[in-house]
Amino acid sequence: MEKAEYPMEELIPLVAELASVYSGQEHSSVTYEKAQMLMEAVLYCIRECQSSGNHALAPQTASAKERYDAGREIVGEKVAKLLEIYNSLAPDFQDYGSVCLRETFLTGIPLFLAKYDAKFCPQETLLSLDYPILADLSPASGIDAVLEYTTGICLEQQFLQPFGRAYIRKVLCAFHEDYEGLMENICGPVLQNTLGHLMLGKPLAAEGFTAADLEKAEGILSSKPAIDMRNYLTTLLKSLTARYYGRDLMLTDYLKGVIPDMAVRIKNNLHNHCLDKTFVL
Amino acid sequence: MENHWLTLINGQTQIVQLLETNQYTQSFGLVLKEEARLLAAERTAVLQREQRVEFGLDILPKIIYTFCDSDYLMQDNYCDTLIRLQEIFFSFKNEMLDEITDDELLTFMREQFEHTCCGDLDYLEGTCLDIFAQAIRAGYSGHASSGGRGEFEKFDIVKRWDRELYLETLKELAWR
Repeated sequence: MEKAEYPMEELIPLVAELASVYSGQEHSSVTYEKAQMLMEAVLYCIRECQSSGNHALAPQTASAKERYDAGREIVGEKVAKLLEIYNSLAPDFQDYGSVCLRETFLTGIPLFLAKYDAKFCPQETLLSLDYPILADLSPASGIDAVLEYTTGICLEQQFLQPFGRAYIRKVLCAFHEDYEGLMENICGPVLQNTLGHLMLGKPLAAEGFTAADLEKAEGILSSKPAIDMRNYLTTLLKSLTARYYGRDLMLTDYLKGVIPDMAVRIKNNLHNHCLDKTFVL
Repeated sequence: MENHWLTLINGQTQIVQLLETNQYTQSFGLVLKEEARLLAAERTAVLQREQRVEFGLDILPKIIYTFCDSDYLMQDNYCDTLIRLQEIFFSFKNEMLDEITDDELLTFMREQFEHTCCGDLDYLEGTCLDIFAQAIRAGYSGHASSGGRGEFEKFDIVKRWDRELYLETLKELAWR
């Protein structure tokens, strides 16, 4: 268990109070496992308060109880926000054929909303969140993880929507003909392909890369060392979002998450002279 | 150590709480003196063994108030019996997956201790509670409406009243 910034004497009464509500005053004792779960619930809410940056509730001035209560409110607000995002996204949601994305979004998130226990177990993520988004969720858990995850999916939908369903499916099929059953992110391949168009100054509507296009791309990219490759791709990404997505910083930051992997993949394909695996359509 | 804080809480037994029960139990000829410390130590040990934690009121005073008017409790076996009852209580809270409340379990224990077991703690633990725990783990929930009263008869596998045997014994005794 992580070290708390409050002494145990302040935390234990909060856990005890939670335990008595949890057991409905009918059990004088709980298992270690449940007690640990409740302690983690208290610490999770306190951390929520801390990460909200509410200076009025700094550890020096506020008690553990005050911060716990504030944290619980924040958890409640985040659940409401998740519901709001989900409801606004669901009607126009497109899975572009990805079974994993469809199941995670259409089955997983509603299940989380139905089962999430904000009071006794807010730290529990409940879902394995199988569809991989471009952000690193490993430090987050509970509502934080699922909210960030859903926000990520929302940004992906925002990015993909202008391309049209048929085009995206074509790109994904060109990357892997059985992409529908893969647990792969669908945004990365589309972005990679689009950056190829930008790099060559090819209109996005002009489908397909000729041998001459790929040779030109190889010429541009092979001159760049590994570190420059990332910077170059980031610059291309920024120009893409500036031109077509109104400089959406949140979207740009999110899509940046795929750049390191993309740079490595391009380097490998350059080395093997198979850029046609990078820029496919 | 991950569970250090849990061990700390369990170490905080209120001996005063135990000594206060004397006011009530002395009318039944039962009094705790130095034994209160032993009981407190045993409580800490059993909680640790059963991996449970008590946050507020301890269960021990409740066990005392539930059992103190038993025909099978005397000053000589008072402390030992309380230690065993406490062990059995926590063990079966776990065995019954916390599906039974403290009051229901104590009512069940008291009823069997007094009638079915005639004060035999091994029988209470090894037969009555064991059978009842199996039923609860299998999904039985009748104790919620009965409060734990009259439950064992529904699961008892031993014929407690055998009319034939009674008449035979009566005949032997009366006609000798």
